[in-house]
Amino acid sequence: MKGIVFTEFIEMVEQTFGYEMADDLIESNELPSGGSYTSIGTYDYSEMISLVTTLSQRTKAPVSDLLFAFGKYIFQSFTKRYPEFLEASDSFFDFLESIEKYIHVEVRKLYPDAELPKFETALLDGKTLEMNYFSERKMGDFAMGLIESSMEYFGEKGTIDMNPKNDSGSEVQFIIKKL
Amino acid sequence: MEKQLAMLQRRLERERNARKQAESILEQKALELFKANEELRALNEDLENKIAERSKALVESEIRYKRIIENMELGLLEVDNDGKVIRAYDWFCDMTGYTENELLGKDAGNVFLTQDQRELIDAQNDNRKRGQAGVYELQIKKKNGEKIWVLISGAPMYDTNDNIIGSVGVHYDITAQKNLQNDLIEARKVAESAQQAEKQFLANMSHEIRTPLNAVIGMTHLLFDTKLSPKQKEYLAILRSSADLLKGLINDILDFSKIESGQMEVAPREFDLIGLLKSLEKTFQLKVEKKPVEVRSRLDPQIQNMLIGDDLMLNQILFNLVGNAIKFTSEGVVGVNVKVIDSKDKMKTLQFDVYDTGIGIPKKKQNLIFQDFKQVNKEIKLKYGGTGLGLAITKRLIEMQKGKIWVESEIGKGTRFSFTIPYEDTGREAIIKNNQLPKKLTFIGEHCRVLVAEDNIMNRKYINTLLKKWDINPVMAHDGQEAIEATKKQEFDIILMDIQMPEVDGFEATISIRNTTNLNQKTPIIALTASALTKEKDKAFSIGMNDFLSKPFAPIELLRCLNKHVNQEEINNPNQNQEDMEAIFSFNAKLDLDYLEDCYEGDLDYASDMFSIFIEYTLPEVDHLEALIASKKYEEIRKAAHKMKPAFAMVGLTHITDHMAALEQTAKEKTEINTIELLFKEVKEELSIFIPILKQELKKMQAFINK
Repeated sequence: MKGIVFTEFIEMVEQTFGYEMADDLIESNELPSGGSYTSIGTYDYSEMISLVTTLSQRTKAPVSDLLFAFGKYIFQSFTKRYPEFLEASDSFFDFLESIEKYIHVEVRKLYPDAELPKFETALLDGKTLEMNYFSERKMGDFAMGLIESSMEYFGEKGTIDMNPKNDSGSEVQFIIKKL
Repeated sequence: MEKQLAMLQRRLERERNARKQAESILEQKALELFKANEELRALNEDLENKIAERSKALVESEIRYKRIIENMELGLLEVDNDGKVIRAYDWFCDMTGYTENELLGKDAGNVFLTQDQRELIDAQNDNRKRGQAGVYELQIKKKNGEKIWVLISGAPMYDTNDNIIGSVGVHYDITAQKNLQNDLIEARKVAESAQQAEKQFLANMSHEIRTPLNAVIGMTHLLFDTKLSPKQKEYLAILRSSADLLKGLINDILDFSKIESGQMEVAPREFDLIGLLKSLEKTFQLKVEKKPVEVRSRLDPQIQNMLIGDDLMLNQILFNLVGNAIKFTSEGVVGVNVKVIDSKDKMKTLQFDVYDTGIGIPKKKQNLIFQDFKQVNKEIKLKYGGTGLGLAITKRLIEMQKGKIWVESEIGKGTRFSFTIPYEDTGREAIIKNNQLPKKLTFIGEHCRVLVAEDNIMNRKYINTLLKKWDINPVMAHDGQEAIEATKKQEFDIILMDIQMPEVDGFEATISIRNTTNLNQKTPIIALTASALTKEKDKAFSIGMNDFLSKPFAPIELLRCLNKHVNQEEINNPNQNQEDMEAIFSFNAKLDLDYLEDCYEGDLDYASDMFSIFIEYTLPEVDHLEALIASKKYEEIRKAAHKMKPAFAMVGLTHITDHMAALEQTAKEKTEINTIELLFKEVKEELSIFIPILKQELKKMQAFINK
C-alpha cells in the first residue's frame, strides 16, 4: 500500500485525536516499518489493518465509520496535491468514470508496483451511475468517503447507495443518483 | 512531562527514519533516472547514427540515379499542374539549348510547342492529372528555332499526401530515327511506284508484243487455208513454228512474272485426268511428226474417277516437261507414267514420271536446271533455244500445288523428271469422251448476230474471216464509240470487245452498254485482250463482261466461246431453214445442259428412253415416297430417296438429285421429319414446274429421231 495512505492516516489521527493517539497506535502494534512512513514509500497493507483496528478499539468507533471518515479526509488532501486529475473532468460522473480509465492508468506509470482497486462504471441513465468496486483490501467504506467528497467537490447533490455484493466486502456496488 | 518527551523523541525518531527512507528512495530513483537517461542518450545516438547512414545512402542513391539518368541521354523536365517548369535537368537543357534558369516558371507548352502540338500535350496533361502515365512522340522547338523529335514518357508527380503536384516528362531525342523512318517511307513510295511502273510496263509490253503476234499467228492459220505451192507451204510452216516459239517465249516470261508477283493462283476444279493424258499424248504424237520418237502414256488403273485440282496448271507442267523431252530426244521414247503413291481419305497423291531416251543432263548441272534463266550450257541454248525459264516455272507451279519435282538422268541414255501433286478424288467415275470437239460446236450459224469491236485492222480481218467461215456476218466497230452506237441500232446475240482501243476503250464501252438504255443491255460481252494479267480479267468481270478471250487465240477457242454464250433457243430466227443447220438436237436450257451433254453425248435414242422411263416409273415412286414420309418410316424413306436420286440427274434435274441426297441424309438421323417434309415440298414444287418441260422434251426428241 502506498505510503501516502499511511502518512495521511497518521496526519488525520494526529489532527483528530492528538499526537498521543498516533503514538499509541504505532507503539501498541508490532509494525514492520516501526511506524516511520514516507508518502513515496510502500508498506504492507496489514499495518493499515492493525492501525485502523487499534484506533477502533481506542475510540470505540466502528472500523467502517473510521474508513469512511478517512476517505473523506484523504479526498481533501488529493484536491490539494493532485488538482490536475480533478480539473481534467467536466462533471461528477465524468470524474468517476475517469478514475479507472485515466487516474489509475497515470498512477501505474509513476508507481508500477501500486496495488489499486478496480472500478467498473455504467451510466444507467442521465442521472444514475452504477459503480462497482473490486479489491482484496475490502475498503468499500473508504471508497464511499471518497465518492461522497467528490460529489461535494463537483457541487452535486444526490444519493449514494452502497450494496456489498459478497460477505467479505471485496465486491461492492454503488448506485449514485444525482438530483 | 517525561512521558511527553519520550513520545516526542519517538516521533522525531520516526520522522528521521521516514526521511532516511525517502532519501534512500530518492537516491535510488535518481540513480534509475540517471541510468534511464544514459540509455536514452545511447539510444538517441544510435538513432542519429542510423539516420545519418540512411541519409548518406539516400544521397548516394540519388547521385547514382542522377548520374544514370544524366548518362542515359534522357532529358527530364518537371512541370507543375499549370504546366509551368519547376525543374529542368542538365540533359534536357543540353537537348533544347536553354539553361534551367531560362525555363523556370515558364509555360513549357509556350516555349516548346506549336499550336496543334499543344492540343496533343494538353490531352496528355489531363491524363496526367488523372494519374495516368503515357508515352508519345512530339516535335519540339529548340532555343535556336531548330526542331527536334522527342519520345516523351510522362508520369504524374505526387507530394507526400498523394496529391498530384505536377508531372515529370522524360524526353528522348529520336530525330535521327524519325528522319530515317521518313526516308524509309519515302523510299518505299518510290519503290512501290517503280514496281507499279514495272507491272504497267509488263502489261503494256504484253499487249504491244502479243497484238501483232496475234495477227501473225492468225493470218498464218488463214494462209494455210489458201492455195499454196509446196515451197510456200514450207516457208509458212517455218513462219508458224517461229511465231509459236515466240508466243511460247512471251508466255514463259509473262508466266514467270505472274508467279513472281503472286498473281498466279491455283484454281482447283473437277477434271478428268484420263482425258487430259489422252489428249496430251495425241497432241505430242502430232508434234514429233518426222522424228522416230514414240509418245506413250500410262495411267495407274486405280485412277478411274474425276479429280479436283488445277488441270490447266497440270497441263502446262506436262506440256513443258514433255515438250522439253521431245526437244532433246532425237529417237526412241518419250513417255508419261502416272501412279498413285499415297492415298488418305479423299486425297490421292499422284506421281508423274516424264521420261525420255534423249541426250541426258550432266550430274553437275542437275541442280542448276530448276534455277531461273539457267540452261545446261551455251551450246544447248544455241542449238535448242528457249528462255531457260521453263523448268523454273514448272518447279514453281508444282510447289504452288503442294508438290515437289526432281530429276534423274544419265548422259546419252535419257532423263526422267518426276513430280508429285496431291488431288482430291470426287468418287465419281470419269466418263470417257472422245477428244473431238463436241458436236454442238456447229450450233451457231448465219442467223447468229455478232458485234465485233476491234481497232487493229489485222485482228479485225482475222476475226472477220473466221466468222465468215462459220457463215456469220458480223457487224464491225472500229472503236468503243462505234460499238456503243451499234448496240443502240440492233440487238446482238454476242459482242466481242477488244479492251485496248483509242478514244473509248472496251471497259468504258461495256460500262455504257450495261448501264444505258439500248437493245443489248443483257447481251453477252466477251473481252478480247492481249494482256494476260489477272487484274485485267477481274476488272472485266466486275464491270459486267461475261468472258475473256486472250489474244492470240486459236479458231477453236473463239468457236467454243461463241457456243458457250449464244443460246440457240433464244436466237430470234424462227424462219431458219432446218435443213441448212446440222442436225443437232438441243435441250431446254432450264435443264442441266452440261450434265445431259456429258451423259448422252448426243445419243438421243438413249436419252429419250431415259426420259420416258423417268416419266413412267420414277414419278409414281415420288408419290410413294410421300406416303412413306406421312407415316414417318425413316429407313424406308432413306432407301427410296437413295434409289430414285440418280434418276433426276439423268433427265437434267441435277438440283433435285441434290435435294434427294439431302433428304436421304436427313432420313438417316431418324428425327428430323420437319426437315424431310420441307425438302420434299421443294421437290414437289420443282417437279410441278419441270414435269411439263420433261414431257415436251420427250416429244421433241421423238420428233427429232423420227425425222
